[in-house]
Amino acid sequence: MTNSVALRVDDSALRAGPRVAFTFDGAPLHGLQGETIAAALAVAGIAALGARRDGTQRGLWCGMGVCQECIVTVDGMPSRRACMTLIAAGMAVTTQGYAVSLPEPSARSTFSTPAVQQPQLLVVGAGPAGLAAARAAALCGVKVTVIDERAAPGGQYFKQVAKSHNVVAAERLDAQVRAGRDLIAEVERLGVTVLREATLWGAFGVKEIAVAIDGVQHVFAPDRLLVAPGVYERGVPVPGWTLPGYMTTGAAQTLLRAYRVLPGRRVLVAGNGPLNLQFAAELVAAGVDVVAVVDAAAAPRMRDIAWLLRAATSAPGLICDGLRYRARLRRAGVPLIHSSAVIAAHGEVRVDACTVARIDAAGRPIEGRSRRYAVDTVCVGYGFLPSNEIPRALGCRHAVHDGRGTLSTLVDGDGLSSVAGTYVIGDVVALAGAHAARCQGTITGYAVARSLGQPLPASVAREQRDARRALSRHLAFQRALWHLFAAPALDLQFATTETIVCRCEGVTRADIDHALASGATTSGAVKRRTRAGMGRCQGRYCAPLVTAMLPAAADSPRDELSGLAPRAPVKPIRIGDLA
Amino acid sequence: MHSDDVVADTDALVIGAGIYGCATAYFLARFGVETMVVDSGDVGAGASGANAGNLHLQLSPFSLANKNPEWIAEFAATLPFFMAALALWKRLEGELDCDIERRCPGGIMVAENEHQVTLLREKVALERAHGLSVEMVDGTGLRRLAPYIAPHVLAASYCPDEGMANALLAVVGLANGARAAGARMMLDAAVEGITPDSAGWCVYTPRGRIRCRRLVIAAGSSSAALAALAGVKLPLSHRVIQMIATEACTPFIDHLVYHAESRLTLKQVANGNVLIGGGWEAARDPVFGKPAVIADSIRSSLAVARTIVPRLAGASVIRTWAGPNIYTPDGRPILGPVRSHPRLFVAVCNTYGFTLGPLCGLLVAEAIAQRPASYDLAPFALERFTQ
Repeated sequence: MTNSVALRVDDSALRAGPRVAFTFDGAPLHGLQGETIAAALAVAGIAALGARRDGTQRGLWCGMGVCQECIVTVDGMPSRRACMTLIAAGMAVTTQGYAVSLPEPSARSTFSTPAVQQPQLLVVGAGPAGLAAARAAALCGVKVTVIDERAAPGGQYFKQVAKSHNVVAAERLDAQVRAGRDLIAEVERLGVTVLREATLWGAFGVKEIAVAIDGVQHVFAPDRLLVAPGVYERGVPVPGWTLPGYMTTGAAQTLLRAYRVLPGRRVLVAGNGPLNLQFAAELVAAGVDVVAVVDAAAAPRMRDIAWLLRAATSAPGLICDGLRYRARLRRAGVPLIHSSAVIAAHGEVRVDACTVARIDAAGRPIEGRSRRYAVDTVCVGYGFLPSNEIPRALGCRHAVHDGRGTLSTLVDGDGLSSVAGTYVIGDVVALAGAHAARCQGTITGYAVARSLGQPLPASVAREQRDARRALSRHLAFQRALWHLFAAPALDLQFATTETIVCRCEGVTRADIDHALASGATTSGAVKRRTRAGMGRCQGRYCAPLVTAMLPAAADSPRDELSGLAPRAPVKPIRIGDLA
Repeated sequence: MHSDDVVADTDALVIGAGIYGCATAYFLARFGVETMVVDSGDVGAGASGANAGNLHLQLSPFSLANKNPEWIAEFAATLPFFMAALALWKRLEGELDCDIERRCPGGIMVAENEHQVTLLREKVALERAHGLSVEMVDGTGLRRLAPYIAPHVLAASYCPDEGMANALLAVVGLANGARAAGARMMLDAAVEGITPDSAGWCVYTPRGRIRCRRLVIAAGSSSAALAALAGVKLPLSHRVIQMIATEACTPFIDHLVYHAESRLTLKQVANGNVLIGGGWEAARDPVFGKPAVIADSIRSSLAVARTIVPRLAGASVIRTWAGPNIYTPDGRPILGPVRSHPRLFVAVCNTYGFTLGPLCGLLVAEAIAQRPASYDLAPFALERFTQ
């Protein structure tokens, strides 16, 4: 019965655009013009996108251009991210192995040093923080350029429906999309230059930001730099977590929200926090069989009422949303399983089942308290890690803020970091959600304008005061929210010796244990011995796990200099695009 | 713990857990000398963990360009030393308890114009006079030998004995070998003071004092500062240089590839990645002073690489890094006892340090253990600069 669910979602607000034909490993397929390769393949039921270093097939994992696992060869050009590359008519998509076959060289265009562009303000990241800052600065007459790696601005929260669909009834879009749509429209109306599909590959200094856009090199030397790159999802390794069909909640939500494509037909959502609840409710609304929502946090108890009330007073709208998600899941008969986690995924080429176990206060699975679920997709969201590679590369001071070695960029109330002219704002600094990020963006946008000597409009004082007030309300909400979702810190509790920790290089827990036993005491030493962190994602997923495995030597400081060095390229960059 | 407490007493103490220190300790321990290694960081955390892993023989006209004929003649006389170093690498591959990914498919130095062809011819003549197996290959021969090289390349010099090893694994292999032979390691212990005492030397670290009969300074780019603590001046200069790694590619570049007149070394390692270097200038970041790559060097380095190997245009760069490099005035290493300071030894290299590392370690260990020298140390004595 479940197989009858079409993987494309009908939406009365939208009309799908034209279909185009493409091939995948020679097989003819169709997709919608303007959707990504990943979305088109998901509709075709294809999850496995190629084998990696350990020989196992991989699929969509982060869905937002960070993990680099979904790379495919497009018209002979290797290593294009399926989650970021739009399909085009006649495109030949092929899977590739760990070692790529390079195409015959094409004629070389003349190499020249890229021209330097000097906007007054360069904003990196078109999410709520970046867009709000761009808007505020532009309102004061600042010349602003915004760059973003995705095909459309909005970031993860204001994610817009892709060009594959035309909006025919904007009023029927959900509020989150509409708010983003309005903000993007306002920013563009104010004359802000928004550069899409712009990959920042090197932050060599505030005055030397290297960006590739459609194969063309740009160097930005702005008067002020604002970095708002957001966060990416933390990886919690379990046996089978590299199986196609086992993906982050964010990846699955992008399929659904941006492309109106379902990640699967029988889905289990697991992890920790409200995003999973929201997404499970969205899946249910789209007709998906959600077999369970699993959260590592304990079920809310009476004594949490105070926190719930605190959350409700600071952001009543968000609490209502939360209650609505829960109600919808309850009506659909989706069990909410607390104090539990997915501890293994099973399957040959795609996940076909997973094991959920009750966990203790330290996050360890409790013997005999597990259950297996037949599924075709598992979505996991265990919270977020900061995308702080740019502020780290620029030399911004950071501090460890959570006992897990996670770095937080040190900034003042205006978002100014320790590096002159460099502002860092949004979730990358401290996870507080899209609303707080937007407020901070407004505050910082005006602060940038002021620092540039720009005359501020009369309305600014009030708007800034409102933003500060709203920001503190949202921060209070976040504190209350995460109290309600407080869970054991999960890292390697479910990883067996054979479980892969570094997904890119296929390095197992046993490999890392061996390196530690042979004398490695830092993440760098583990990297040099095992390759963990040497891959395309540059250690974004494994580095925190390796850090958790290091001996807790009292005299090894955990600061911005520990962990792996933040080096170019921030994202892989094709040699032909550079030189 | 008070740093004046004696925490260790050893016959030989080696400062530096890079390839020079680990090789010295490896051979010392195997000669039965009681040995300890101390380092401020981890095994191979400095230049040994950042270098390209080239097993290198050919002279580089590029780095000889501004040198006078006497300098070049003296440096060329070290070619047999390089050949001995490569023979030792082969021996080590069998001895060490890990795969160091040593492979010697030969090295190709390319010429794009007639001037460069002439440079290579002169270089080959000089190398052959010192016994190196090397020959000129014309365009047709080069296409047959290395079809991945760009068609506009006119000729190359080819040395069949050159190659590569995994620098990261080699230094760990030597460290593990040293441990297995009984050497001790004290890591994360920065040396803060060196004083002579009645029996030899006393070395101060935050973890306590180490007493030793013989002391070896083999600490790469920190060597000059450490030697200064003992009152010895090492004539070293420093640069920071950078490297680039591509994604893993199916095998298509067989050789170690260099250029007659541009900065380039390029090879495909066992894992499939292409490592691109050649001594491109890097910097130190202004905040923390750590080696940092610079954008112009990345672009220029890649432009040379893709001009010579056009297929690289389709490969993605996934990593870059920068590391320290040290230079001696005459390009030769400084090895052996410091005459003015009894029981003090040094083992530091010029650039090409990876190739020479194990042999330099062996020679210093032989000098300490008072064993017959495998190679005459006289040309490498520190005193050549002071006399």
